[in-house]
Amino acid sequence: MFNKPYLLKGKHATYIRFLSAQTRINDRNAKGAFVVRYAVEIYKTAPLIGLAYNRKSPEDSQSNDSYTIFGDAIIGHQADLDFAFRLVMLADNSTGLSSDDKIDRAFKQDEQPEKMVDNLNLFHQYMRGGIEWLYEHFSDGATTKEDYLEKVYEIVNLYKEDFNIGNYDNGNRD
Amino acid sequence: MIIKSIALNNFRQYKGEQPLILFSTDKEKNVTVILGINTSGKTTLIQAFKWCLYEKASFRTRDVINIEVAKTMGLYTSQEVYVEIVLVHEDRAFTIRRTQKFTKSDFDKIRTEKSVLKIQYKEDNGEQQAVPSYECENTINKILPEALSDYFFFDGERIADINNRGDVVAAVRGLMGLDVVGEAKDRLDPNKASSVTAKFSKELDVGSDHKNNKLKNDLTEAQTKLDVLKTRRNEAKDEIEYYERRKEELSAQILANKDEKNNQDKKLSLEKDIAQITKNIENIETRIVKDFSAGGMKFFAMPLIYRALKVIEDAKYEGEGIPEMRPPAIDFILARKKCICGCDLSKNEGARENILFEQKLLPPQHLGTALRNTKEIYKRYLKENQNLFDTVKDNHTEYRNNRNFLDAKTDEMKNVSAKIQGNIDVAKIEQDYQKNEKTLKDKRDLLLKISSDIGATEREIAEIEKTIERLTIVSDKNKRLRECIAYSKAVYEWLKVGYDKQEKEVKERLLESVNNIFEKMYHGKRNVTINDRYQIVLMTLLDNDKVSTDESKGLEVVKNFSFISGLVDLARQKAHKGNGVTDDEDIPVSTEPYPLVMDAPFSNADEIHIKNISKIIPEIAEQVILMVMEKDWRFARPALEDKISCRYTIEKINNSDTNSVIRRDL
Repeated sequence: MFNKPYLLKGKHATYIRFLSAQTRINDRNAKGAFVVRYAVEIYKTAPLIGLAYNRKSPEDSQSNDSYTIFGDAIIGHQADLDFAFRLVMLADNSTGLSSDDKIDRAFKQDEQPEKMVDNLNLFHQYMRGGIEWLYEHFSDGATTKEDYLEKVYEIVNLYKEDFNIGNYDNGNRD
Repeated sequence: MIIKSIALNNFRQYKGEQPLILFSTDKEKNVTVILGINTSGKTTLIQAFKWCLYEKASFRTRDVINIEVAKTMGLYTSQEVYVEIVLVHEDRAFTIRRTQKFTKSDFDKIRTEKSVLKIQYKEDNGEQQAVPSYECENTINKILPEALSDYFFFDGERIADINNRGDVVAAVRGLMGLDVVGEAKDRLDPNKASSVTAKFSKELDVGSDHKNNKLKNDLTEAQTKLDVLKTRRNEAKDEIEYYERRKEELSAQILANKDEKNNQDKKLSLEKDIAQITKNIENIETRIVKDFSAGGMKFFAMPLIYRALKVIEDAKYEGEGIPEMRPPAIDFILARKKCICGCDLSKNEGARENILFEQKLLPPQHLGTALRNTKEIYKRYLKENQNLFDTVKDNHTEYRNNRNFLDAKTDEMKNVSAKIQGNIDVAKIEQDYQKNEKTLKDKRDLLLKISSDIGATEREIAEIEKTIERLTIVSDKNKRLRECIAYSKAVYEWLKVGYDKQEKEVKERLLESVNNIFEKMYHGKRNVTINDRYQIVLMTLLDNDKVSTDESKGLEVVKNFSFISGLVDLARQKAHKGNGVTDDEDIPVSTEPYPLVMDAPFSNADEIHIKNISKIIPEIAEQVILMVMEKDWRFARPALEDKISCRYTIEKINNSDTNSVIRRDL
C-alpha cells in the first residue's frame, strides 16, 4: 500500500497542479495558488478534507489532463498516507459499518486485495472531493500570490470554525 | 773694471809694507809690465789679486804670511798680512782690502785668524762709504764674478786649461752681460720648480677655484630651484583660492538643497526599508507554504480524529489477545471442535463464541495494542494541531502586517519621490564637498611644504653666498696670481727670445772676434770654430773640407789667447757701444771693460807668436798687466813699447826666495 506512483486524471490533475508549488518550479510562468509544496502533501491531506465535508468525487474524464505523483514521493510520505488512509477508514460513515467493522477495515484488510481496492477507491473518492474543495476555496476570488497566501489562513480558519476545532476537549467532538 | 793699484804687506815673498804698485789707466798706453826672474814673485802678484778678491790661493792659508816675518815673530806678538786693491768699476772707485792676522802663540806655533775683507767706495759727492761686511763678497762678485776671474787673472803656464773648463759657458755669459738676463730667464722659467712662475703656480689655490665653481653651480641650481618653488607656491595659492571658492559654492548648494537632501536621504532609507520588508514578505510567504504543507494533514485530520476515536471507543473488543496465540491455532481448535479445556465445542455454543472472540483479538495485529497506540497518536495530534493553527495565524498576521507596512512605506516613498526634484543630486554635491575638502587640505599641506622648502632653499643660498664671499678673497688672490703667472711667462718668453737671439749673436761675434785675433796671431790654413759649450775647436782646411785637427803646445797657446782676447775684445767693444753688444735694445745688458792680468803669457809661445800676441793684446783689452820674464820680454817689447805706461821689476833681496821687492822703472 502506498508504494507506487499514483496517476490523477482530468480536472483533479489540473487542480493539483494549481495547488502544488512544484508546478512553478517546473514552469516559472505557470499560474496557480501554489500554496502546498508537493503534490504528495495534497494527496495525503485532501482525503481528510473530502471526508470532513463528506465530499466524494469520481475520477474525471472530462479533460485529458493527468498528473503523476511519483513512487519515491509516495514512499517518502508512506507513514502519513497510512495514517490518512486508516483515519478515513475509521471515520467514514458512508457505508453504515459498525465501529468494529470500521476498525477491521482500517487495520485488518491490508492483506485482502478485493477489500483493499474498495477501501482505496473510497479513499481516493474523498481525495478527489478534497482536491475540489481546496481548489474551489483557493481559487475563489483570488488572483494574486498575496490573495492565495491570504487564503491559507482563511481556509484554515474556515475549517477551524466549520468543525469547531479548539473549542472542545480531546475526544468530546461528535 | 780698471785696476788702479795694489798694495802688499807681508804677503808671501813681499816682506813688510811694499811701495804702492800703480797700474796704467791710460787708454792709449794701457800696458803695465812687471818683469821678474823665475821664483821672484810674478805669480805671487796674480795670487795677491785672487787672494784679496776671493781669498783664493794655491798655497796653504798659513803660508800667506811672509816666511821671514813669521820666523822672526816674538812670542805672543802679531803680524798682519794685507793686500789692498783700488779699482774703478762703473765709474766708482772701490778700495778693497783683505787683512789676515797671525799671532805667535807658542815657540813653534802661529795662530791664524780669519781674514777680514773690507770694501770702501766713493760716493758721487766724494764721500767715502763702507760696504757692510755681509755685502762685501757680493759686491766683489758684482764687480768681477769669481768664475770669470781665471780669464782675467791668468797664469800663462796653465793657459792650456783655459778653454776646457766646465764654466766657460757661465764665464762667457757673465762677461757678455747675458748672465743677468739668463738668471732672470731662469728665475722665470715655468719649467723650473724653483722659478718665480712655479712659485706663483704653487700659491694658486686651485682647490678653492674648483670649489668656487662648484659653489657657483650650486648657487645657480639653488636659485633655479627657488624660482621653481616660488612659481609652485603661487600656483598652490591660486589653487587653494580656487578650492576655497569651490567650497563656498558647494556649501551654498548644500544649504539650498537641505530639504532635497533630507528627502533624498529619506528616499534612500525607504528604499532600504522596502527592500527589507520585501525580503521579509518573501520569507513569510515561503514559511506560510512550508508550514501549511507540513502541518496541513494533521490539521485537517482533526474533526476525523474525533470521529475515529469514538469508533475505537465504541468497538466491543477492545482488549488484548492471548500472547503468542496465532489465528491458525484457534482455527485448529475450532476445526476439532474440542477446546484445550476439554469442552466439546459442537455442543457448547457459548464456548465456541468465546473462542471466536479471542480469535478477533489476534493478529494480523494485536488490535487492542494497535488501537491503543492509534488513540495515543490521535490525542497527541489533537494537541499539536492548535500549534499549527497558531502558526498559520501568526504567519498570516505577520504577512498582513508586513504587507501593510510595505504599502505604507511604498506610499511614503511615492510622496517623498514626488517631492524630490530629481535632477539635483545632493549626495553628489556632498561627495564633491568632501572631495573638495580633502583636496583643499592636500593643497594647504603642499603650500606649507613648499614654503618650508623655500625657506630652506633661501637659507641654502645665503650659506652658499657667504661661502662664495669667503672664497672670493682667495679667488681674487688667484686672479692676481694668474696675472702674475701670465706676466712672468710673458716676460720669460720675451727674455728667452731676446736671450737666445743675443746669445747667438754673442757666439757669432765671439767667433768672429776670436777668428780675427787668431788670424792675426797665426798664419796657416787653420781657423777656429766655437761649439755649444763655447769651446774653441781648431779646424784645418783640407781640400776645401774643414776637419778638426790636433794641436801643438804653441798652437794651443795661440788658440787660447785668441779666445781670451776675443772675449775681452768683445767685452770692450760692448763697453764702448754702451749698453748692448747687439743692436737689439729690447733687453738691456751691461758689461764693463776688464783688465787682462797675465802671468808668463808667453811661456809656451815662440818668438813669432809672442810678437803677434803682444801686438794684439793692448788693442783688445782696456788694461793690460803683464808679468813676464826678461827672456820673453825681449820678443814682446818691440810690439808693446809704445803702449807701456808703467814698468816694474821684481827683485829678490839677497837672492832670497822669501824676500822680494818691486821697483818701478817707468
